[in-house]
Amino acid sequence: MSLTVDLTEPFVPTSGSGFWRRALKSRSLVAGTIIIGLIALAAVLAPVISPYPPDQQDLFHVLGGFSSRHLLGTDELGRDELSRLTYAARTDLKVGFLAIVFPFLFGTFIGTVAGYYGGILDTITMRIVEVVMAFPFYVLVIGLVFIVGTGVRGIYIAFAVADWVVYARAVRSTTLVVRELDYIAAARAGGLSDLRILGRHVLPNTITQGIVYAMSDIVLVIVAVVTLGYLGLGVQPPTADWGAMISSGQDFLTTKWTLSTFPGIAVAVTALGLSLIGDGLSDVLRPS
Amino acid sequence: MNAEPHAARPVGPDVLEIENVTVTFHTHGGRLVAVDSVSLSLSEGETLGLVGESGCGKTTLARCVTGLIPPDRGLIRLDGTELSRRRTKRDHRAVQMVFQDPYSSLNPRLTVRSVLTELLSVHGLARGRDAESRCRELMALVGLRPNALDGHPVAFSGGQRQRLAIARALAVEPRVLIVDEPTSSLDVSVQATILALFDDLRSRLGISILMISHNLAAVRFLCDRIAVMYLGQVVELGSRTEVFTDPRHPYTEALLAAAPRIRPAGGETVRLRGEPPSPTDRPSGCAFHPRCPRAEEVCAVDPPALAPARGTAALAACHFRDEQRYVDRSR
Amino acid sequence: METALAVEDLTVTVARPSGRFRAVDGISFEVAKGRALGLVGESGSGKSLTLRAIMSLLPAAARMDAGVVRLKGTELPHAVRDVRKALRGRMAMIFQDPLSALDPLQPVGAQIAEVPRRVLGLSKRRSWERAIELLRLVGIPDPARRARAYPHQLSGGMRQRVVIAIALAAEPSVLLCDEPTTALDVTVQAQVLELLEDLRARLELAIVFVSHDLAVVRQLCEDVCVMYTGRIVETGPTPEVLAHPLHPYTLGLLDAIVDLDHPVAAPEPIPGALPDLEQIPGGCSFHPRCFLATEECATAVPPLAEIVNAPPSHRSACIHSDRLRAG
Repeated sequence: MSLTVDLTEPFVPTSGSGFWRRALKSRSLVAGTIIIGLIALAAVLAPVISPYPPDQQDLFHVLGGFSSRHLLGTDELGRDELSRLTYAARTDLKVGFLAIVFPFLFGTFIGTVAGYYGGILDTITMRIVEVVMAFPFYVLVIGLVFIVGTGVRGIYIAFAVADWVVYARAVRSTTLVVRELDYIAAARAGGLSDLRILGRHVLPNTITQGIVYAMSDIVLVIVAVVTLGYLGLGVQPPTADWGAMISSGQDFLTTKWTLSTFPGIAVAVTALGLSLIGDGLSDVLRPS
Repeated sequence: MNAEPHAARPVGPDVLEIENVTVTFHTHGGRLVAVDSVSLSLSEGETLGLVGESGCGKTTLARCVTGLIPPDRGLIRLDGTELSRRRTKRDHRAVQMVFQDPYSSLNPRLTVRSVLTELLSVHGLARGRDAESRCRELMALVGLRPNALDGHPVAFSGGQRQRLAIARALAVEPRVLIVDEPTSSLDVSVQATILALFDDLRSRLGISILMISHNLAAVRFLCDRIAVMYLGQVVELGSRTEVFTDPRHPYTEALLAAAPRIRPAGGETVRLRGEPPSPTDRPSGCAFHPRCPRAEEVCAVDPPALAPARGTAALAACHFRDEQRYVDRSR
Repeated sequence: METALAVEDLTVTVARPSGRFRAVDGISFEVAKGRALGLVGESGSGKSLTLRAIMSLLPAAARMDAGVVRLKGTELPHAVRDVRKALRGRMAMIFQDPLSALDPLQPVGAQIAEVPRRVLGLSKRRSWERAIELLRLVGIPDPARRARAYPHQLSGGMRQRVVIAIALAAEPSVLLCDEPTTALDVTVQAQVLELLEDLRARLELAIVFVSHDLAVVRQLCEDVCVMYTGRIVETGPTPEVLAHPLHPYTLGLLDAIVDLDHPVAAPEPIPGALPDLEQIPGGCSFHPRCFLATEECATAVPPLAEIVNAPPSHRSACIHSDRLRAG
């Protein structure tokens, strides 16, 4: 009744578990990417598609309506709205993306190291994180901008100081879980160095938390850049920036409401696109 | 495959010596002695089984031997040389572990090939084309086709993942393989495959194995000697025949009695009262005495040593180790 | 013997991205008062889904497409809300993990007492007394004090006893058990199994016990159904089925296990692997792995039938069972 069985087992690779396949299936991700893609395209091609330089004033045609020469009208200094919108996209997107680079990298690094080693390093890091988080975000950013100065440089520094903490916290939590998993124990038992374990085994499994968070963080940062611009603390004139455009257009809400509204809509659509990407990515990056 | 399991397997000198190892944890509930001055040895080519229930310390001991947790006291020798608390790369290579949960013991982001080639390259064992052929050999050794090298863990079943974990452990050509509950999350038919695989690897590679399991039947099939642990201590240590047919510690008897049989041979059974105590709350004297059907006053006062019993080569930590109470009904 | 629970042609389908698939395919069985029936199988056998379908606790993706469940002769309604009402106080279920079955924020006595208060309408005081009686019934020492303990203060075995107490609190006639001892240490498992045997005899409970462990089923259940890919492939009195299996899968399972008292034989793996739900072979679903298989086996699903020279209660779904009978 008994058989000698060949112990070999066939392996049938499952298809469609690849990242790109799942990425294309996610409606949020695709929709978000299209939206941001279009805006980014407009931003990159701004010099090409804008009919006028954004600071070119034409004091004979201030507050003009839609016309064949100025598709979206002109502002209070006669500058072409369309041109300013596309150049502002360029500024705001660039500043927004660049502003989170340091927080993301630094925060992820600190969070991973603190979470993996624990002990005094973790305690100190978390206390610092808590202190920074105790300040409301805008209070901190505005305060820092006052200290280091306005303009783009001020924005980068302010975010570098205020924004890394959330990444550190999020990545640390994931690291705490991952470090207890058996494959990390197996890597240690395999004689792999800590650096290698952190880089090849821990980080790839924790960084997705950071990436997903980064998507929603960019939204926050871009809105903050716009807000600072609105307050006059961010990107300085005459550089086009959606925030500054909203602010200066305030005075003309009853007469020429498009001056504030169009940049506002641009911000809202950008935020929507980034949120969709974040949503889609968080689904796709989860290892099935 | 139908080898008579009681045939003596050729064993050599001690490859692993565990001397008075103690591992303590500091928790909210107090000081927890997970492993309490345990001494064991593993001979070359031998398979030693470590059995016991929750809280007995077998997993902690296994992780300590693998070098994942340093012992607070005691030492571990490999081929006669003491292993330092912080293991070197070479030390790690010598003692490898196959973990219990096949679903968390493989990095979901790496392909099988990546995991294996990384180990081969870190230990300077093989690179490039040599590494690739070694990977194929490892797949063949554990019974998987070479195309498995391209897969990510998510694509494999539990039994296949266990094979991958075994391949990973064997990649660095260890002297000692520690296997932690190799069959617990697997289906019955898959368990048989994995046990048969270990049997096959053992005879082919002559590797020494320390196997942790609560599955007494699997232990009886694979292990030459067995150590029974209770609350951090070894309470019985003997050969397969000795432990299963002539146990001298009441806990061992109770374990044998409690395991359900397919074809029960009848007879009265020993039933324990109560449950395994928490390791933070050790009973006085013999740790087992509150649940022991044989306990007498001395047991609450005087902790018995693990010593040889009369009429057998086995060791038991019981004041009444010389008594032969167990009626063996196996055939 | 009075039939406490009867299940007829139960079918459960599960939704997957690529369609609906049968996870339980038209199974039928009966359990008499005071007897225990084991449902044995591996992953994908449908044993857990069967219990959940009976209790109307199916997960969202699963649906009971067909079948009749009779409790003491009365057919249970199909609509979920009505079923829950009909089951109250007459059938109860216990699960594998006692910790997640208990509310961590309430003392265990309160959790038990809730049942007689709501289902039987007893007063608060009487319910609490009943809870203490039940704790004593399930063998927990010092029950009056233990009733005030929280689940995390109890050990695994004691929690499982509490779960059993809650299940028995409304005096059900049928107890469904989904691998209740799998997560327990072997000595604790032995105690819980003994408790279940004792309760079955004393309270004349009908028990359906799902497990992957044939030896555990041997200890507790007089009758057993062996399940494979959603169908019952063999059924009969447990000692008979385990000593003289009539289905090649049952035989394969027995050969794959090392029995503690008969350690001579090495475990023999069953060739092939368990098929995925979406790729269950046609005809007899076991045929690709079966050493008795012939061409006929791939064409039609063999019915669960009596076999010549075997007792009528011992049935097998295999057209070649007679060859196993002879051997």
